Amino acid sequence: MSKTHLLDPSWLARLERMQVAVRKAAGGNQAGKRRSRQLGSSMEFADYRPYVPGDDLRRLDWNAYARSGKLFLKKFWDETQLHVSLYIDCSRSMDFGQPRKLDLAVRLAAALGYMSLCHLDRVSVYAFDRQILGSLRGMQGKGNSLRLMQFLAGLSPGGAGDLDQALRSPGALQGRAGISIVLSDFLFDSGCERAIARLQAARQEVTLVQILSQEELSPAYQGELRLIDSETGLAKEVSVTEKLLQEYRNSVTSFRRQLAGFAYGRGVSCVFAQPELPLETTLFSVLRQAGVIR
Amino acid sequence: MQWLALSNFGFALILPAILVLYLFKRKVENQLVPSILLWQRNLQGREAVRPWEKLRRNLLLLLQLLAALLLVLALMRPAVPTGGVSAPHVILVIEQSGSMLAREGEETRFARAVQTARQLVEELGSGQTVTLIEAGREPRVRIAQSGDRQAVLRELQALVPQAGRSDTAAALSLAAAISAERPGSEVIWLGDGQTEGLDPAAPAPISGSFRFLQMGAERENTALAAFAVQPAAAGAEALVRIDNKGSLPSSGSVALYDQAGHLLAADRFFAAAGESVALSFSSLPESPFYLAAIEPEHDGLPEDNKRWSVPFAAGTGKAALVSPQGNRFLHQVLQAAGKLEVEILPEISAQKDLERDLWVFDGIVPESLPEGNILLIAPNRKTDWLPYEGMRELDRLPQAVASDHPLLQYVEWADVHVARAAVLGEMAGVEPLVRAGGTDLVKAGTIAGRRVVIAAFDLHDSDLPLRPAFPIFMQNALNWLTSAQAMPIGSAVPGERLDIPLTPGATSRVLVGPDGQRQELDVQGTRFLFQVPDRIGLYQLQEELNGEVRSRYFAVHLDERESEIAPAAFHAGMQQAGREDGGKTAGEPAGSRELTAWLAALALLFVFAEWRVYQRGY
Repeated sequence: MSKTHLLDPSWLARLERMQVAVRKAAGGNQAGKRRSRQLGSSMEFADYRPYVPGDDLRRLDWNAYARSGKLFLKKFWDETQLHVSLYIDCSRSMDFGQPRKLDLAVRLAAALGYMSLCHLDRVSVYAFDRQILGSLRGMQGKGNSLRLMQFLAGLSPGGAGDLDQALRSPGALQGRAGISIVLSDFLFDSGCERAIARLQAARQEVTLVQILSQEELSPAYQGELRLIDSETGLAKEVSVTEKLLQEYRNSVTSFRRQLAGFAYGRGVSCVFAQPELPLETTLFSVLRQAGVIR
Repeated sequence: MQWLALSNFGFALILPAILVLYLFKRKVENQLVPSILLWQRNLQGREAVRPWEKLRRNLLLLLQLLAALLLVLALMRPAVPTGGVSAPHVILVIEQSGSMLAREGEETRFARAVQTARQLVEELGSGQTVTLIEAGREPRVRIAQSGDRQAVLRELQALVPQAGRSDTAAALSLAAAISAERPGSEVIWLGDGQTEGLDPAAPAPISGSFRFLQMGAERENTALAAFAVQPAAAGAEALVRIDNKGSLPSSGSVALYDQAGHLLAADRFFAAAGESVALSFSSLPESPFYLAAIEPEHDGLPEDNKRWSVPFAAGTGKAALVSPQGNRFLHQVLQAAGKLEVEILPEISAQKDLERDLWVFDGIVPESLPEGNILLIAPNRKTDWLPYEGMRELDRLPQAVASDHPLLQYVEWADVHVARAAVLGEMAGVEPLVRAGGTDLVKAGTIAGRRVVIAAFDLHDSDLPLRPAFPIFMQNALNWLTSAQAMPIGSAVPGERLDIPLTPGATSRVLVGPDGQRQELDVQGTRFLFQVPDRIGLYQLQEELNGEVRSRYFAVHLDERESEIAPAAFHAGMQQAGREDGGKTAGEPAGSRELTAWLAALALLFVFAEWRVYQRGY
């Protein structure tokens, strides 16, 4: 995949105006564009408080003193940076769909990463299957976008996926609180519940972007088939009937519902994306409506 | 439903073959899926583990099997019988047996058969010919290959039911012979399928088609199977046996009547399905015959509800012993027999009272045979009826040559010695029983309607009287010679030949039937072979002797086996029908519509459906 195709250049300006939404104020320790939980020295007024001897006299509100004769201190929000971690599932199952699910994941990661870099957020990208296949950590500033694009363009499907096991490998978790966005189909044998718990334990605000292709949602198989798992190689012989397909579709729906239900229960936002839909729709409508970006 | 080509059932092997092919079919395509995780949830219990499980819910297989089954059925050429007859030549066989007298509603089976045959004949088109066979005791062709419908109807009208047995096998082979003579014949058998005596393994090969029309439906019948009356010290004793041949319990009343029709005794009976009950009655007043009648609840055949019994008449016979030399042995043994009134005559008096039941001649040969049966001992001269050829000394021991003759029953000849005996020539109707070397010692048979026993040796020239064999032999001889007179006539079934013993010396003999019809008998001798007619009832033989009319009775009953009236299927020839000629001349069988075309059309429909299913890939 060439770099130019990762993101349409015409979108870049649009992306620069957007940012990854965060529900809680960020708690970073370097200056950035995000409002911090702490009061600090940004331009944004936060509150007044009575003067206590020892306070910085530069922050006294002389106008208020003129009106009331009392000394008030102006407080401003601090601006800090946000840690954004992007986890891209590079397991074999992401190699399906038209276009591939992995392509969608990579493009979404590119868009999210680019907009975060533009906002001076600290961006880390992880590609995983059963383990972390590769990562770019701690990028900050728009100047790193080329690195990011190059890394993303070089991703290719690997083996069987296991998010939980991947997160257990060293360096897989960002040490500070921040936002973690997982782009995956969540078709893991061991499930993703423990992995999400692990991320939340690391003070991450987790967003799940589930990517399922049309082939998975509503397969058009016929006849006697031996279904072979692309990751594990497990095979099942079935005679595909309309009834079985209907049952399968029901099962997919319930799987999605189950994931969404779990995410809701843990305060995790969950978004569904489909590679067959235009990227623009997914990016500017779906993610925006879901509140992942704003 | 008939199968005209049953042998094509072998094509049904295609069905397991299709199944086997499906089992062997490994048309499983590999399909790579992103993850089997979602499929696994649905495949619990759906996975084809064992081979036959692959066949479940396989619409294609089901349709193929159905189509194949229909084609096999079509090959077997099923046909449903239709009312009409279309064969150019129809052989109608009407069963005439006792069970055909069973009532089906208002009419008898026989009447139904005749009615059905009438309808068939009336429906015939021009150019069709009919052969009518009545399958009675002897099958008879009533009318052969006749195109004259009126004549056939007349013959049908003239058929009368018979109460006897029917010879099914003979009728079948007769029909087969006629149908073989004329190709394109159809045999239509009208009966109730009671075909005992027919070997089902080797039915007569009927070329052309065979159709059996069941005339019977009634299964219930209660029969008076046996009725016997015997005189006893305190009045007569009667025994009645009632058989329930049906499948439901039967009850009813039984009544006993005497000669004048007076009710003597009555009782109720109950017989479970297929069971017999026996009732006994005692102290009945004396009567020459008794009638027992039952009135059962369920009854299909009224003909077997009545039975007559003539009590054993233990009258004493009259015997004459003619022995010029006198014979103590003979005298003693005749006295000891008990049932004979023995008169000893020194010689044959050529006088009037020659009527004796038994004549015993010892050492004397009468010129002509007197009335009555004869025991001749030690013949010594030649007469018209006795080819005497002289005396011969014997050096061989006597040996029985016809040991199963009633005369020789229990008689041991091994230690009997005979010094000399008369040599007798061949006599028609008389067979040798005991011989010594080439000489006949004892002969027995019938001469001019009389039973004759000849002992060709003088008892004094032998040690026979000293042996245990002597009293036994004499008892046998007396039984055999006097049985005819001492026993009642007995009973018979229609179609049988009844041996009626006649009283010697009667001047006129009249047989009176149950309907009062009188038949003069003009016979000689002591026996009369009577062809028993189909009329069931009590017959009377009136004999006039010395101006006095003596009546003896005998009953004609329905054959006990005909009481089994349950209709049965009659398969003979059915399988043959389709096999003949491989359908060349048999063609479309007469009177049945083949369903082959319909089945083939249905099979085509299924094949079409299967093609659609295959196309749409269900």
